[in-house]
Amino acid sequence: MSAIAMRVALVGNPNCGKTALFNQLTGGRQKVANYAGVTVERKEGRFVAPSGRTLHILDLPGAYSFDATSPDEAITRDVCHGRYPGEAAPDLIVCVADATNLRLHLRFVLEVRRLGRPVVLALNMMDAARRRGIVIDVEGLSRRLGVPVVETIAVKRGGAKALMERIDASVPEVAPAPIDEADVEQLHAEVRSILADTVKLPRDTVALDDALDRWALHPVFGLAILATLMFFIFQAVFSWAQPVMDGIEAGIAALGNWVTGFLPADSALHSLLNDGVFAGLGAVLVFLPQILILFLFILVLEESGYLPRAAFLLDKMMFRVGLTGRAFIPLLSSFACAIPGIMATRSIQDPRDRLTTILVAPLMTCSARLPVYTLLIAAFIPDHAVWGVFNLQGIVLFALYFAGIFSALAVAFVIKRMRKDKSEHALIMELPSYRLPNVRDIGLGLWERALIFLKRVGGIILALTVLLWFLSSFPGPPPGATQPAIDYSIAGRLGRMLEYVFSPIGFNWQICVALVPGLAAREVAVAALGTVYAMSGSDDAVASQLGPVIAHQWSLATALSLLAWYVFAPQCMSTLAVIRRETNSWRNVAVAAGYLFGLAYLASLATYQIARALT
Amino acid sequence: MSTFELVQGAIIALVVVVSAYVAFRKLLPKTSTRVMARVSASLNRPGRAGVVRSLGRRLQPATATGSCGDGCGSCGSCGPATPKSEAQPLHFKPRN
Repeated sequence: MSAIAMRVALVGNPNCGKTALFNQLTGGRQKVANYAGVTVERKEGRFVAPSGRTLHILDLPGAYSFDATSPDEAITRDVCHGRYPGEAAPDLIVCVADATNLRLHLRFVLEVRRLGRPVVLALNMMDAARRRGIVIDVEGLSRRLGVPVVETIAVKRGGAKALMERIDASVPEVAPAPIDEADVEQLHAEVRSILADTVKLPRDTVALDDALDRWALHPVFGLAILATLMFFIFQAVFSWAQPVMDGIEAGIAALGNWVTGFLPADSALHSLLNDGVFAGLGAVLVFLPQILILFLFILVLEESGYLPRAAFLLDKMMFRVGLTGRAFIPLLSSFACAIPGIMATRSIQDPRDRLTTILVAPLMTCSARLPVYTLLIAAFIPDHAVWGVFNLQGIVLFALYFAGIFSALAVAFVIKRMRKDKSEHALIMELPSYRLPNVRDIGLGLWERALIFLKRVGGIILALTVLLWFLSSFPGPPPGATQPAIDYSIAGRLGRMLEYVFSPIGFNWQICVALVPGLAAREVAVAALGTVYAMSGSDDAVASQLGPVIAHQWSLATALSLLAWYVFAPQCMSTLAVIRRETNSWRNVAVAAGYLFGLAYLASLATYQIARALT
Repeated sequence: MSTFELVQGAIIALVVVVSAYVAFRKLLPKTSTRVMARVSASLNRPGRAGVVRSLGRRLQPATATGSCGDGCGSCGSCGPATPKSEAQPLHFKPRN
């Protein structure tokens, strides 16, 4: 074993806490959640052990066995066997096992032991095991397995101390156990024998889990609970965020006035700051509270262990439309962003099922669409109470999210019909124990989301807003011009050209201009609208009041048409790039972009024409 | 042209060029890396002035890191771009 830069691989069944341990060891902040399949890539970090040597820690995707059935499991198999391209076999394997579920997890431990490499077994979630009255004879287990065994609590600060010390100490080489590789039965028999000798289990399952699951997994009540939860989330997004949004809006307006107050009102620099930076970025920044409220609910649901139950509930419906139940988690991840969602499809074994999921993932409403939706809803939908309890704006937001889900199911159904697939794939999914979300973890998760959003605002969104301001300002108007300067600019002319294509769906030239930078990231469209309207008007109030301006200038039919457009339009180049990478095919990129643009145009056309006829 | 207009023009030009560079790096990471490598190699050629060569070395790009943080949504979970060896594209086999 090398004294410097020892390579340590964390392996184990899905959802046993490998990534939480990885974060403890390396100080990293990789995503953790209470369901299987969060990690689909190999992650690498390092830490300096108390002895002073540097350790490279590999966090590998969860695997139930080395007989890999999905692409993410294949990574774990190849790394452990030393067959992974460009990577030496690990010097030490830390096999992580859920102490509350050793009956399942020990089988993989035995497989790992058979590799003949140094192994340490980390019995994770020992706190939960003790609470359930599970007694584990750690010494005895270590003797039976022939490997060192340490107790860990990955979610508790200092919960990996024993593992750290063990890794730092030298670990003896382990001889391969004399078991025939193909003999799975023999492995199970050995697991049963070890458990009988070393573990006292008062009850197979947790009584509280069983009680909650009687409701959460009920075919009628379960679906009702799920629908209520979703409905409540979107109500909260609208109701809770407003005071903070008002505060941010006022703050941005005050800052804008103060900063631009030092500059001559007719100067280009004043215009850049007022119409570009403050109108553009301010229009996006105000949506931070809504995004955080949405993520608060997503993080709580992820931590609680409820999500796999929802997957179980929806499996039957998803199967009917041609999706596997395993598609639930990738599709749910797509509510945050389609990119991790598409990457999470690696846990889907069948390549056809995986492709279908990849193609429909962009239809899930990612958080970047939230600023567009809420801007339009706040401007055009009255803030009325429905039945005295619900908020009409929240109901419309819920309907838009539901429209995305419904479209994804419909597209998957069409794909199923086109490929004439009659195969069946049973959903085998582990239901984790329910867990009370950790306030600190949720807080950290929200903090990271806020930082990511602010980095985007200060990075790509600011850059594109400045460029749009430049294109909206130059060339300047000719002498004696009567129209606003933007009409003579590059962006203005481009908008007028695009208007020919988009006028049948009700988009004016300002919307057309905003659609172009919106291709980079959807929320840039809001920033672009802020800039374009600020450049078009003479009133400085536009900089902080985009909503009232569009409410005044657009018809309801146009607003509804733009909402319909954003349910479908794949206006995110990064998503298309990830589809290319994950499918290794430009054809699939063309199919995804083509069908999404086609659906967006048709949906907007129908919405606009119907709304115009009715209003 | 007044001093204010001169300074204003310079500031705007700088801000626009930097914005274009940031957008280029974020939206076309591979192409921008290729272009930057060429520019860097061209500036860092032997025989060039020390200042130019130093600028060339500064412009030498690190590996391209297009990730979800650059493009869509507010995700933060997919980390840096997957190296080519780790990508797992679809492979179809005929059904039995």
